[in-house]
Amino acid sequence: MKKKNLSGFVFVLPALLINVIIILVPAVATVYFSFTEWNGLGTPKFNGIDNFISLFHNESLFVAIKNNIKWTIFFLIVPIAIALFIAVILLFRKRGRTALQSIFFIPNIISPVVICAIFSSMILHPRSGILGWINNLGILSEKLVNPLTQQATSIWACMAVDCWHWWGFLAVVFLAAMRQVDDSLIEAAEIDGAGFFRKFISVIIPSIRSNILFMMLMTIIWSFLSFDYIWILTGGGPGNSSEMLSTLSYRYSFYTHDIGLGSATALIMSFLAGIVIVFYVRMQVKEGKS
Amino acid sequence: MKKGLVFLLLAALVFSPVFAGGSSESSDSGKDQLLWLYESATAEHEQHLRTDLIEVVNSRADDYEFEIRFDPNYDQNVRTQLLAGAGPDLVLTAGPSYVQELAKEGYLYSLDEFAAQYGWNDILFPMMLDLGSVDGHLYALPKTYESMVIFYNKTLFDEHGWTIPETWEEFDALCQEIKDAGVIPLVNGNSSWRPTNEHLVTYFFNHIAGPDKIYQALNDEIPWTDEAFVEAMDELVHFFNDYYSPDYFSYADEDCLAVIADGSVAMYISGTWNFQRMDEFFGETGQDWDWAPIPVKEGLEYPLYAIGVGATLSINQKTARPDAVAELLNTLFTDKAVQVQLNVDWPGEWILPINTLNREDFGDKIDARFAACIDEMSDAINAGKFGYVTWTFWPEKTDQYIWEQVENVFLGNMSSIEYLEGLDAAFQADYDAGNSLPVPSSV
Repeated sequence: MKKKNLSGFVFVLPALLINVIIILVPAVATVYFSFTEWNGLGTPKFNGIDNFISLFHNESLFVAIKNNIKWTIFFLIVPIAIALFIAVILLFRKRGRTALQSIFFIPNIISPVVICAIFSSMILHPRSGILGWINNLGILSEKLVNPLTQQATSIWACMAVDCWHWWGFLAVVFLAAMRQVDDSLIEAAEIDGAGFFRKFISVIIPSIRSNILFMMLMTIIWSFLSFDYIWILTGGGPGNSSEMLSTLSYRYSFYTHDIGLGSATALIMSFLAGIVIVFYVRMQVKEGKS
Repeated sequence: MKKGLVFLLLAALVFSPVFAGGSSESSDSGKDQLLWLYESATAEHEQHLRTDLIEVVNSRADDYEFEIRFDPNYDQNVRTQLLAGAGPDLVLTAGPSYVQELAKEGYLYSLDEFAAQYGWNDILFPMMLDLGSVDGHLYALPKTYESMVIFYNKTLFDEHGWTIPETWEEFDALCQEIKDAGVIPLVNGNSSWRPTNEHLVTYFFNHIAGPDKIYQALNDEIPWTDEAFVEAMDELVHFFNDYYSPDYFSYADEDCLAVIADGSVAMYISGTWNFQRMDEFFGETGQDWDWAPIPVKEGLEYPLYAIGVGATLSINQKTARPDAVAELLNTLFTDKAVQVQLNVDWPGEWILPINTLNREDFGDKIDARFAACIDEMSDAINAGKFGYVTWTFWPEKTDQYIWEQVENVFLGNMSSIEYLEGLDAAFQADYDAGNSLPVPSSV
């Protein structure tokens, strides 16, 4: 038995080592750096909780937290709702299903840099984009403005671009789950006179509940990690209207070279994500027991 | 402690491609291989730099060979490599504030012996030597110096009989006239590079408040909330709201050049680095361009050039061949044929801060407008009459505040005085921490 355990450990060892080196070491280093003043070159100087005090006096942190919350709520609702709706339509309309699945999935395999370039340069740009072309036609009483450059809309515009590439992936996952639902359940509901929405709400959704919950959990985690779309599309601006904790941390670490402040921001981000995840998982466990 | 930290980083970055670099390896030919990591450039400019400088240096060397690599993220990569005890032999930095940090931590080789050997102290402008020095020792040679000027559509100006005036009051009136004629007076944009914001702060501070006030504030003699800076910021807000293209947050440098080239915008206040791109954009529209110094507020001396250094060259402390790197630097700073060819092929990128290069050296090989600009900037430095760009003379964290927070002034979230109070606080923190940079006096 002991030998068996040892051989198992040997097989796990390479993966464990990689995880320790590329995840645990930087994670521990981040915690350590967050209590130091360090420009990334010399020796870090321990400065207690100064970085956290400085952060909590910075308005950008609260804007970033607010935007992270908005981002999470948006992605828990909008792409999941679109994906469920499209998936159930594809479930019942078998004709062209494969082609449509592929089309919806394509944005997910395009690089974020390319997607951002398409939206910022070819669609929303006032000179080279479709938006500029429409404005030049002179058919509108007021010119369209690039939503990425407006304080009130910049974060929502980033969400919309990210959502465009994301919902197709969810739709494919949900459709795969829906196809595992026992046909007899749907047929029984039909015999009982259930219409499209009744089947969707009372049969299909409960049957794929575990898949939906898993994707919701992953959405929460990924929402806190969101960085690429915001950084490429707006850089956190204009002003700090689309700032997220990830962009703030990156800016402190690699623009100001204040690694301490950047690490403290990253730590706050992990802490908040941890709270949300623990809360969510506990809620699910409770529900599962009841 | 330091060793432990380096180990941690090494372990964390063990799979990172940044370690592709390295210093002073021997090649099959038996020559020492030396590396220079440069910022990103167009394929054409990359080839010019290889031909005009690297090949010249390599052809003269018996026992070493330089290789140049272009990297859009060179700044971060060089930093990481230096921390790991490696890095390119020739270290390019983004300006004097970076030199201060690297030299203080012992990552750069002192250039004092080479400066004496090759006579660099006699050919570089004294203020440029100061900017490359830390605690009385020379660690970096500014690669190029730059300023902000007005690029304008000459065809459009000639058509309307407009000329760029000398005073700010007349400039304001001109902008209004251009606007009344249905043309957008000014353009700028930060969509590809947010620190572009500080270009506006630089020229409003210099041309409204004036270099003297800036000098005093940088030396902590007056606060940044001084009336002169409030006036400069108020004027910035007025210009931004009334005369600038509304597409500031959508436009990148290329868009700005394109719209002045097609005449939909009259002027673009930008850095002298853009001399290299004027013909490319105006060539497409068939219109003509010119440049002029930025007007100044009454009472300030005209023309005024805010001088800055956006790149410096140093020797890696860990290189095995400091002598070879110094030879490359010496070729760059003393070989006139190399200097002229670099300016012909890549105008605006190689305005070397030396007193041995003048208009006559270029003959008719470079654009006369660009040659005139080099002459005027050089004269301003020699006469000690210049201004200060924010990215060269302001400490790093204060500079970060300048470009990051000024967006809130553009957007009306913050008043001029609120912005300046924040600037003053950021500067005080940097000043008290000993992070201020050498500021040459402008008389």
